[in-house]
Amino acid sequence: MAFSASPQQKNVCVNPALGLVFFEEQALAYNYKTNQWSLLTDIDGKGFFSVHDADQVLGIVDPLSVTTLDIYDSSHSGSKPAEATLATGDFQLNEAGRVVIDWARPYGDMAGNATTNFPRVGVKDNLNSTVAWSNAGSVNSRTGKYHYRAATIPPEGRYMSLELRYSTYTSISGVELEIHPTGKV
Amino acid sequence: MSEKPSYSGSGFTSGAEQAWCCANVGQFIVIAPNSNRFSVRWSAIGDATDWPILDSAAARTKQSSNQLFPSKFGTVTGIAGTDFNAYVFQERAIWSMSYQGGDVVFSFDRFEEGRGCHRVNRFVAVDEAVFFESQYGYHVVQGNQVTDIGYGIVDKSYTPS
Repeated sequence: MAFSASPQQKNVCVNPALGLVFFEEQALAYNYKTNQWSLLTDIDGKGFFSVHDADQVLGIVDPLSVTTLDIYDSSHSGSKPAEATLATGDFQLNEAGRVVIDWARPYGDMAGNATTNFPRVGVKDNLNSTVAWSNAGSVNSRTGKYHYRAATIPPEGRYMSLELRYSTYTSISGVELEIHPTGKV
Repeated sequence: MSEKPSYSGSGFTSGAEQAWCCANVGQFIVIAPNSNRFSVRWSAIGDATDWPILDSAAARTKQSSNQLFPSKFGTVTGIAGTDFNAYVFQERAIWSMSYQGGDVVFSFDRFEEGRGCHRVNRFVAVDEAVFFESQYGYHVVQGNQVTDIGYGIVDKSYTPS
């Protein structure tokens, strides 16, 4: 959605520059850019800089006060989420049987490596079974590949999923996988 | 639908009513008149100061008319207008209001029953989206689709204002 309109009413108002809708009598603000709520106990909205959900609990922002530094911290401008997780579904990458994943290389504009233990590969032999997670053993600083050769649980099985998690990023566009078919089971 | 009506403060030509709420919809001013809380009425096309007598020849010529809504959905509590159409909120329903021209002028389509703007002007328009508060919680309507933005803990802890 692109938002650019001007405020129209009194007791519910919007600040398009900040992406905030204020429900004044309820002391609530809704950030439609991040889909986050904020409970405003002390603030009337003036000078409110951004909504920052520090604990990311249910998308609810803890009660804030004018003395809370978070809301004036420029590092939170634009309310970029503190951490992003992307997960795929379960895919049978080898129609004939099983596969082993050698490495994964995420694509995007991420400043820094993925969060510790990510990206991780979810392995299932049966779609109804519980997923077993394989954590990358290392990341190659030159290629950006996350290698799974030394993983405690080798990512070998019939159905694979992948989960990425980054704390600092601008965009995450995809991930490349190196797989090897294994024998039938 | 390019020129928006304007009011210079020199007084109305005829028939202006007091209203609970109003909005600019295309070349019209649309109001929820005090005289009937279950209706909206709109001005002459292109002239916010001209309010001809309803159902008169002048009103038909100038495309000024009104629309009644079922009272079971409550009173009209808000009108969110854009250049081409509008949402009319009742307490428990939402209507889309689209310009047709001719004798019809505006068509009305009720696409939501249950959720509405539970109090006068308890909404705000942001481009094509309208955020509003119902008796159940918080929602956004866009493209005639209502989404519950407060679903979960916000709506569960919600007490109508």
